[in-house]
Amino acid sequence: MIPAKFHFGNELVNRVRWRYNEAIVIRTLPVGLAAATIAWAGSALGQSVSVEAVPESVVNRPFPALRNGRPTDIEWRSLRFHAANIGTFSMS
Amino acid sequence: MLRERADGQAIWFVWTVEDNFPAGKLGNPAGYPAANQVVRIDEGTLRAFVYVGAFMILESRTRTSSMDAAQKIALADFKDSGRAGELVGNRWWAPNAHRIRLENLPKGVRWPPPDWRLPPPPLRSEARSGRCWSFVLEGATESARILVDDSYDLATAEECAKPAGRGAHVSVMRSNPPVAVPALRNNKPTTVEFHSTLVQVIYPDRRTGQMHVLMLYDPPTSLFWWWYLPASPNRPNDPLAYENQVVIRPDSVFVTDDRLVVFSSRTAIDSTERYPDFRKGQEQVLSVLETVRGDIQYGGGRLALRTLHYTGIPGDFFSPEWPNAMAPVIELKQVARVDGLWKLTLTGTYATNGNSAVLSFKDNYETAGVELLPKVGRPPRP
Repeated sequence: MIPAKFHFGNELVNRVRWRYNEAIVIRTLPVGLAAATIAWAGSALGQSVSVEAVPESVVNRPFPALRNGRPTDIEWRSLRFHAANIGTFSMS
Repeated sequence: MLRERADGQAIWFVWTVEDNFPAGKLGNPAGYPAANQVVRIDEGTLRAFVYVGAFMILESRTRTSSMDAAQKIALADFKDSGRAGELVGNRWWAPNAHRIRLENLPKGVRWPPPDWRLPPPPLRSEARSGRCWSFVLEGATESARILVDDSYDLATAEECAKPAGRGAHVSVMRSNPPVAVPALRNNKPTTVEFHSTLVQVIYPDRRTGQMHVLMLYDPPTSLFWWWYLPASPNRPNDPLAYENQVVIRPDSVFVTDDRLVVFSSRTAIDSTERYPDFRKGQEQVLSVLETVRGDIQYGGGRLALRTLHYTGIPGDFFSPEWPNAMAPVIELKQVARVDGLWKLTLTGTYATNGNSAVLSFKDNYETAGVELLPKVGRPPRP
């Protein structure tokens, strides 16, 4: 039978958060738990994140590449978008 | 975003420009975290090799008709990942990236330097060496050659000249006897098989590590679910106590006809994988771990976790009453499937008056509604 003392998920996260500051939690928790914790920490009790591109931020240009070792170029685009309650991100 | 015109292969990644933590604190650079990229198309596959202190390899798995279509998919992918907040502590979001840790580079090419504002040293691609890609990091005073083999592992020149065949990088060290754990099958009590295995992983930088792989198998539906936790023998005081840790709470496992879900108060991890028997499922897990082991070393590797959003619940509803409390402790009390919705009953353990709420979620775990259940008989907080 599973030992009763073990817990999972955010019950566990909360217990850790209770004792440690968030930076430690971020670096300690495994895989998705850390992601969930941080998402929660940055989003005021986990409101939905909306992702919106920043107008006029899109930049297109060719990007140098190698095709089987020979120079070529491919399409490159950079844009900024805002994830509500979290911050601003860039995509490239 | 990168896209090859000829066949539409596309790659994207995201980095944080600003976030809730102060710049320069918590490992966040003070400004734009520049990266150096080499893009190659070898034998028809588009890859980006990105140096950001670690070495990221992104291999295209998507074809799009245009850059606009790629952008649409990329933003939806980012949002759907439920991991937007990860970037607060980990500046890079690169789906399916294979990462190689580079720790013994000469000082002149190591990045980030003490001053985050400096860009990383240029990354240059050389001619392929046997079955390896060859890159050079060129610092002002020093340079370093990086050889990456076709398994995306660091390699020596001698190894590059030999044919592949190093074998599996993930192997089972110990399997614990399976146990039956309580679960709910369409709201009625049942049990599913719980299996746990300790595996050893050889990471792309040749280091080894251990992980606990936790698996659920439901013979009536053949549904299979898995998760992993890094084992941490060097951290005996780790509050998570990985050794023997059990992911599953009896009231959190739910089986439907088409999926097996493990809930916590803030997350849902679901699986629709089916295998004729448990062993086939475990073989698949080892196969997946083999491909994502580079990302695992950086705390990624599997993106099936869904964050449950508390839309409609006041910010202090679950908060403890005493001042300076860091966070509410929210317990999952009950899971039910009602009229096609997930119904989760949550209680704030130390919350004022012991408030509870019933949150409804759609199949995709978007919030569908909330019912607040403040404890009766105590006045609300002014």
